[in-house]
Amino acid sequence: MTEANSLITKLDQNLLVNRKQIEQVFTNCEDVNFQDWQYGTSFQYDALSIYCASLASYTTHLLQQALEQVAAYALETWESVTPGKLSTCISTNNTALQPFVLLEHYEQVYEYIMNGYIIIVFDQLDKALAFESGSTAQRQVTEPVNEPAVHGPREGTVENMATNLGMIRQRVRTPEFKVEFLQVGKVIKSKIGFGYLEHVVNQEVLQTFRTRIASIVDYEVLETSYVEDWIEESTLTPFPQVRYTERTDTATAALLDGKIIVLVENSPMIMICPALLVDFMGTAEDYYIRSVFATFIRSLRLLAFIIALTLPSIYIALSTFHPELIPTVLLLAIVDSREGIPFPAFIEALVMEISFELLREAGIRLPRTVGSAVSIVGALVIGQAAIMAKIASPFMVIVVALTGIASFAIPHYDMAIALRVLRFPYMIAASLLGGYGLMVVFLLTLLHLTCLHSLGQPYLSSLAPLKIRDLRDIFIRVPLKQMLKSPRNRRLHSSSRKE
Amino acid sequence: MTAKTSTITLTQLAGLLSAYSIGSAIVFIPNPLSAAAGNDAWLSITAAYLFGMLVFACVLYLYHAHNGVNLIAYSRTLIGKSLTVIISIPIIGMLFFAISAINSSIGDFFTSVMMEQTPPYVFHSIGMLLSALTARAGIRVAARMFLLLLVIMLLFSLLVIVLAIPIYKPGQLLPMFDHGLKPVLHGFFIAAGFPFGEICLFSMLLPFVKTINKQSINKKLYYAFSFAGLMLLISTLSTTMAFGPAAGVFNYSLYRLAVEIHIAELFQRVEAIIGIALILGSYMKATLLLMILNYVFIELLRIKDDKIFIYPLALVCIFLSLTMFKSPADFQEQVYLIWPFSVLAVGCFLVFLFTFITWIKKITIKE
Repeated sequence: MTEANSLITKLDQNLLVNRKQIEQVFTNCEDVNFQDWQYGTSFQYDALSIYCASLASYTTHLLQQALEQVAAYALETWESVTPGKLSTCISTNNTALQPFVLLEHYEQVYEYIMNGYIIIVFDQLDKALAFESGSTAQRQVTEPVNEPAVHGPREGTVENMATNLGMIRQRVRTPEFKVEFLQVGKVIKSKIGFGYLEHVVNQEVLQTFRTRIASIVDYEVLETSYVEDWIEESTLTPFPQVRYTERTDTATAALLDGKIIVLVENSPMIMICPALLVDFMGTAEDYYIRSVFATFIRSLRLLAFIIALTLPSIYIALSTFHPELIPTVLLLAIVDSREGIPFPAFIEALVMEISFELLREAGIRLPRTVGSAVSIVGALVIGQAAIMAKIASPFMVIVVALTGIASFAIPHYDMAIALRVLRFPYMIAASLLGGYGLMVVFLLTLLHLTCLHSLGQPYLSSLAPLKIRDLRDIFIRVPLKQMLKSPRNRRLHSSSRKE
Repeated sequence: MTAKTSTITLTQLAGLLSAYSIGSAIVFIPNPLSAAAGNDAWLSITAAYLFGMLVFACVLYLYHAHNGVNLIAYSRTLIGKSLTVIISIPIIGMLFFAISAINSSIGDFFTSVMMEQTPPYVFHSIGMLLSALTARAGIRVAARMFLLLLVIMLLFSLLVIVLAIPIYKPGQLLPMFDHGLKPVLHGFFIAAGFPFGEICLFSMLLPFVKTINKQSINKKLYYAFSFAGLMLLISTLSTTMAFGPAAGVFNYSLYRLAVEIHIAELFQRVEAIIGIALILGSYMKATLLLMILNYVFIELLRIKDDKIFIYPLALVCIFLSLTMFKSPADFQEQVYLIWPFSVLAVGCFLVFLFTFITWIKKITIKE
């Protein structure tokens, strides 16, 4: 029997045929176990249970449980169950057989085995029963590693989608929170789930999302970020058009904002889309702390954003083209510190920036214990030596270090990477045309951002097109009382008013 | 041109109008005005603003009377196809001149003030390329972006004007009409042409607004235009108060104003932000004019692809801006003498003429 045929083939009455067929499919899968059983008053009937030992934790009473259910239906003892009674019971009253799943095709059997179920096949019966018994190793719900917070809930997502969805459901206890699943890929068959609040989400966005995600069905998806390429409008831009979180409270807030969340089985990352530029300025914790402080932090972040993007290029432009714009005392200090350095400011900045990027990249991949050694050698020893050897001026080191710190202060890693990449064209432009060059790249960046869309929404929304009302939650954070009185998402507002 | 990609909101249109009127004028206008009218420059600009309002009222009247079509389209219904072609020749010439002049002014500013060793063609070509890219991205993108840039530009300009308060001497605004009425009229002539009279060309962009009722369009756009007038008045007043009649000598007056700022050790050397405001202003105005020029061609030749002319036109403008002005003195003469004249004699005249014809037609139809 070919594989294509097996897709539509029903289970056979004969247990031996069934066993042969299933064994053939699982040839060389030594973690798939076959266990023979006998039942009946004198153990004259055969049954077979099949399970994948690496996925299912095997319990011995399953067969007895199944038979007891049938017996209860026929008001007899479980030992006296015969294949005939089994068959009638299943065909007339299979709803009573919960929590078992009734399987009729081989393909279903393979699928359920691979999903960690235990399958029982009976002789003289062309159906099989599947018992859930998932017990793979799972990480416990712990504090999210990438998004720690002083205030607020401590739970972070894990690799199990059901657990993650459960944590979100606990917060969003309303039937308006819709979750849809789809299975993608031919080999791995990953499960993708996406959720949204029906009365809050922008229907146009949802429609675009559905059309785009539908095209992913044939591909193998290992991680949530795979989905990004299918969702986003423009792939060749450094700016992320979706954002990720490991916090379920962030996901909930996103839902209330009318976003769509995407989860992939076996990945802890929750994707939030569409993401706009201003979304990358905030964190969940902004809403848990006092609004004055939150506003202060927001402005710090804006500053960090500007510094991370432009500080080295501003330094290059000022020191190379417009020294007259630097206050005299400071200018003298800079000139003094640059004395004897053989490179122009651009090369100096480039060398320092690239070594900093190298250092950062090295630090991420190394085991934690070695990581500190890298930073000592890299930052302290080489930094000090570079200044002593007159390769870089102390000013440049400060500039590069400040830029690095600023890019760490940006709460979303993807956005920080975008700025890291963009910093280099800015530096080149500043070294060629000074302040004018800087303005030109800035305008080009802005033009690009204005043209960019995320799931059909303008990426610069709230800024361009300008919505003054929304600015209260971007660069500042007004007190929650005011924000909740008229939520950012007007649909939420209007629907709650209707109620 | 699909409706979806080319409609903008009323607020965005108002933003474009402000950006168009303020543009680079906020940095440039105080200087020629003071040169012409001395300390009465602010009187000239106020009068010019009132004249601009009159032109703009006609533009809006024409826009509403002809069911929201652009200048070329209603010209066709009013004076016929062939005459429209004839009158569009000077309009196209004016637009070419305006774009190239703005483009070369920014080059002049940088080569004379900030980056003396860089050849001007660098600024001319990059600036024009930037405008062309933006114009090509469409009016929707431009409208979104310019509202943001307008805010930045105005914040920067106002910052300089506020920081310069210690050097203002309000007494320099007096005496009024020191040299009689003539200098004020000369100033009026300049400002009525650049930037206020140029509003006549803006009628090419009015049809892109989402159709709302007449009153709200008029109200918001008058506000936007008045706001532009106010900003230019403030800029002129502050330079006159700072430098007196000498404001006419200093090119790029607002820049000079910024150079003079010295508050404690904290606020000094802030002239770079005027450089930024100037780049933003010129960029926005050049882009809008390039769009207008493009739409004039599109409307005249009735072409479907509304972006096809942008790059060729931009290239022509780069060449023009490199060759049109022999020297800064030549630039001054052409921009502050010939340009206002052509704006008044061609642009404003046409608008008045069309208004008159439309009005007569309306009356005769009623009768």
